[in-house]
Amino acid sequence: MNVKLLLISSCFILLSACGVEKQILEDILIAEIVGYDDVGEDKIKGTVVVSVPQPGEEANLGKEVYEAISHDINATRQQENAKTPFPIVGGRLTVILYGDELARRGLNDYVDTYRRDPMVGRDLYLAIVDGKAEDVVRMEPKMVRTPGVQVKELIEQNMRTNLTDVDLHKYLYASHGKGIDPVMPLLEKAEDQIVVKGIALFKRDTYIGKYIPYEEGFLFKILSENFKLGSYEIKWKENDYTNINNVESRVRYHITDANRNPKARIEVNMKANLLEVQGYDLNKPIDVNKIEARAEHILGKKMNEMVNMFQTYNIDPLALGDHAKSKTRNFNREHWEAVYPHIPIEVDLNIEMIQTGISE
Amino acid sequence: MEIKPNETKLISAFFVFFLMPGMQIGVGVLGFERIIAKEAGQDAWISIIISGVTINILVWMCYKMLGRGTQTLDLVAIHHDLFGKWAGNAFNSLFIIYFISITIIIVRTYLEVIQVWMFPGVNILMLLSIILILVYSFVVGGFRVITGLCLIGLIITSPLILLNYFPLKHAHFENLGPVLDHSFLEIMKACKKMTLNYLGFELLLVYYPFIKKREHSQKWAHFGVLFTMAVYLNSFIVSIAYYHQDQLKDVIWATLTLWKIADLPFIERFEYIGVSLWLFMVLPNICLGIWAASRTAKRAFGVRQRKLLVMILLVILFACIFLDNRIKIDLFNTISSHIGFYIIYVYLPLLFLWQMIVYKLRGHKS
Repeated sequence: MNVKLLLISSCFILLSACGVEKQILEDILIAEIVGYDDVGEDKIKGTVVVSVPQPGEEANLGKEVYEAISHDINATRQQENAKTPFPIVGGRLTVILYGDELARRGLNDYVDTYRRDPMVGRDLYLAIVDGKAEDVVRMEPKMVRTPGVQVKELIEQNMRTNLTDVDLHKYLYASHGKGIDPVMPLLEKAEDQIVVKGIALFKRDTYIGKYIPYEEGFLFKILSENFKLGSYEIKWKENDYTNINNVESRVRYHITDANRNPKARIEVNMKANLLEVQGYDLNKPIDVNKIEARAEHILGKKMNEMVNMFQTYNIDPLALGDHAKSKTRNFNREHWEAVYPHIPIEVDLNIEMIQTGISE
Repeated sequence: MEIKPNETKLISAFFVFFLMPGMQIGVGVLGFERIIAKEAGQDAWISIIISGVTINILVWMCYKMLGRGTQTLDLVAIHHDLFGKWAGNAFNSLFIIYFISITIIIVRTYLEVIQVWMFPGVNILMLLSIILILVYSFVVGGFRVITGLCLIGLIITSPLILLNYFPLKHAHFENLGPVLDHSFLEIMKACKKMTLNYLGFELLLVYYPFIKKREHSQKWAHFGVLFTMAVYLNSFIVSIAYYHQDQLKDVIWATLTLWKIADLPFIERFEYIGVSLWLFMVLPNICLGIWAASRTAKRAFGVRQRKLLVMILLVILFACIFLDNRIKIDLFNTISSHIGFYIIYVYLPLLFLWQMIVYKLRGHKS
């Protein structure tokens, strides 16, 4: 009996605390978005937006910006804490931005801490800012129309049409995996807005300074994943434009003879509808066929140019090397890497117009 | 020496199905993917199946050994029967140490997960004491209580399998190709690494006398091992589809990191719930390990089980405090898994053969 009493009473003492630091919502600052820039001499500048809880039932979340300069990311976090009344925690971080100067130096060192930290989730977005990341981060508190983070919503919105799926996990997947290179959204500050400029291209973890413009992002998305939205404007001739709406597109990669003379064929099947046509009569089936053929020709050419551009810079954002590996026994990676810039890659595009809108 | 536990302490044959995964699935499943993928890459799923099948063969051997004589109902009896009292007890001691050491691995690894994933500043001594007091109360309750715990643990943690829905949205199943691109040797190496995750079925040799209608329990034991295999197979295939192989090599707890992607409106970090729930998977492990160690010691040396239990708990407490960093834990892990590997793949078959020969000779005499 005495032993039991002792056990029970000791449980109360033991369960009261295990030496864990408690974090109360009102006594912490939640980091929402953070930006890093190169400031020379091997130093980086971190800028962070934190949401500050306000008292009251229907109060808005206030946002504040803090910044610090140091050599590595954890040290900047530490220095930011020197300026804040409460500790900053990163558990709900949604976006990490990097200035293009820093991205050209290679990002592995600056992503590593987010890869290791168990506090950080995997569905946060990484993006490059053309110019200083700080500028975009500082825009954030001014845009308080939505309670969430503007940049995150911007990326998520555009991921449906013109950006490929890009979160921390996708970046780690592509930058650590061999035979595949990551991409990131490229943002820009224009006047008093944040806009998506395009898709930044990487070699391993280094931004090569080239990007796919926003409009062409649709073509890149078609080449890299199956998806269901987006539209593209085709110019027929002077003053005549047509807008193709993607209903469903599927992509398949065929790579043959990867260990000797590799040949790649990217097969894209797209179901589309037309919502805006200038200069054609859609009632006649012949014209729909003509439009299909014409669109295949024009889009196909653009896609081929895009793929050739990847080869010129020796980057592989479409993961052709990875596809080759999973299809080939005893895959010879060195050989593949040596010949990749010169292999023939053919884009085989099939467009099928399934609707022409609700008017004849 | 007759060992027939009281009728009220027996369990139905059916529950062996829960006892098997109850001891086999523990902390290993949180991060075994990296270890076997290092050896055999995308082909490691073949290793999971091969080891699953070999474990089933070993389970069959155990049943043969246990059912051969009328008296050889557990490991201690088999040892005494074959080697006599003194040599038999030496082997029994080996098994006691082995049971304790796998329990230490489980406790320590789980605490490490809590330290790394949830509370870096947690006071290990206190957390450990709480867990061990809990374990004490369960083990004192006897074997039936522990069996119940296995059942509850499996039921409570089974919803975690639904979490696979989230990574499957990002899955690249082509990562599984090309099939059989690794040599036989590499696949066998992965099999060896996989052994640690299947350890625990040999406890059958200890709890066999507690099963009602023992002959009927064999099929449930095999189903249990197959269930464990399915769980591992599922985890591995989801991980290899979600991670790039080169990326997987750096992810220490692949299954746990997978839970991070779970995106639910009411909770941002699902792995906190996952790690907490996992205690229900780990507790049966710890209880069964300690129970087996103390039961074997009681049968071999005739000491009261409760006294032994306290001693074993103290040993575990001190061992866990001594293993205070990654390097020591890793070293201890490697040594114990080697011991485990030789015990199940070398010692058990040898014991099986030796018993067969001895019984043949005895048969001739009579």
